[in-house]
Amino acid sequence: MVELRLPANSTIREGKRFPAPAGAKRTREFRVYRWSPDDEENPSVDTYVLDLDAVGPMVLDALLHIKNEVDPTLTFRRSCREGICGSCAMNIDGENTLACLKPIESISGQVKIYPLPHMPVVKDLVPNLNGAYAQLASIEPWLKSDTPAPPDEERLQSPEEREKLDGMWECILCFCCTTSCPSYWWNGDKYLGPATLLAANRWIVDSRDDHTAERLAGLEDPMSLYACRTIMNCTQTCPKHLNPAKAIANIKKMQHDRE
Amino acid sequence: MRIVDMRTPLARVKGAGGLPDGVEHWEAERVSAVMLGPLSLWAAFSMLRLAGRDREAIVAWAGRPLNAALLAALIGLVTRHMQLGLEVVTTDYVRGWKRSAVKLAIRFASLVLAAYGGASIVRLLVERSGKNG
Repeated sequence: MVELRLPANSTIREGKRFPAPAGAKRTREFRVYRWSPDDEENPSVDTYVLDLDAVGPMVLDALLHIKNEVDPTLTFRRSCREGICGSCAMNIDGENTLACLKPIESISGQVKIYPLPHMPVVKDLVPNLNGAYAQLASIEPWLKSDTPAPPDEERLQSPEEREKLDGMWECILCFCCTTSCPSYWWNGDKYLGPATLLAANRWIVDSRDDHTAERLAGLEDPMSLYACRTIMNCTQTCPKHLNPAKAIANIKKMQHDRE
Repeated sequence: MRIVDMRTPLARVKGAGGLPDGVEHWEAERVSAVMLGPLSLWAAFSMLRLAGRDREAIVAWAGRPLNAALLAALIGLVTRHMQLGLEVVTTDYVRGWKRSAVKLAIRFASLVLAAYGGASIVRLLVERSGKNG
């Protein structure tokens, strides 16, 4: 049945508290999920009280400040710090988003930071995304054409055909959408999830790709595509303001039109 | 801890593959819902009109071929739609062998309900033709 209770070794304890530096005027509490594979401890939530005058504006700035100045054991992924790499995807203030794009000021009260939901945790805020990456690989997200490319030019596409890819090529594969989806939490072993289905649709509608029929046939089973229950968390949470739910709807429509 | 599953992530994700019948279930959910729209309106309207009437009037109404046919369609669609919807809920919330068991129970219960409704309509038809003859 659906898991309503956490397993005993997953119950979250109250963790350490790191007080604000002396003389701090504008303080804010950051509550951060901690778990290490190296000891037998349950996960905990540590509290870091930071001086907002000493840190940059985004949640990622606060995490970097903690790691550099307060507690070097805190582990998280980050790279570009400008919303294009997708590394710092995490659950902030109850919503999956990119720490680098989330202003601290947009959150009232404590800033609660957890890893992306319902994925195995590697350490602290680092989720194991191997399954999601494998699902992306399974839909073969690259141009597939049995027609050889013209010898002396690229494969051409009309401006109208190119326009169809807008809203999909911008996906940075942070998996905020996939890990926000209850259907994915329930059936993530078989349901591909919104990020992968958005990528699938991106290649299905690409006019240069001539494997649309095979791509649609590959998705036509009760779980891969149809486990989507149009809950729409994906579209609500996407930090790039894309619309995976619409992409999934388009695949369902194209499946229908194959009749 | 000894690692038992050493398949690649891709092999695990692909598994044995899915059955090619996703469209069918998904469309049946929607088609039955759309057809139930006008049928439910008709049923609600008829119930309101028959409210407070005696058994004889209701038997006379249900014994007309058009009404009996629409009632049969209503019962068939309601039980079919119910079965499809409960199957979806089962897929979401029930794991492993219990999933198949629950789905089997849902299908059986839906079939029995539909048959019961059908038998009731036949009984009304028989009752009415007895009165006519």
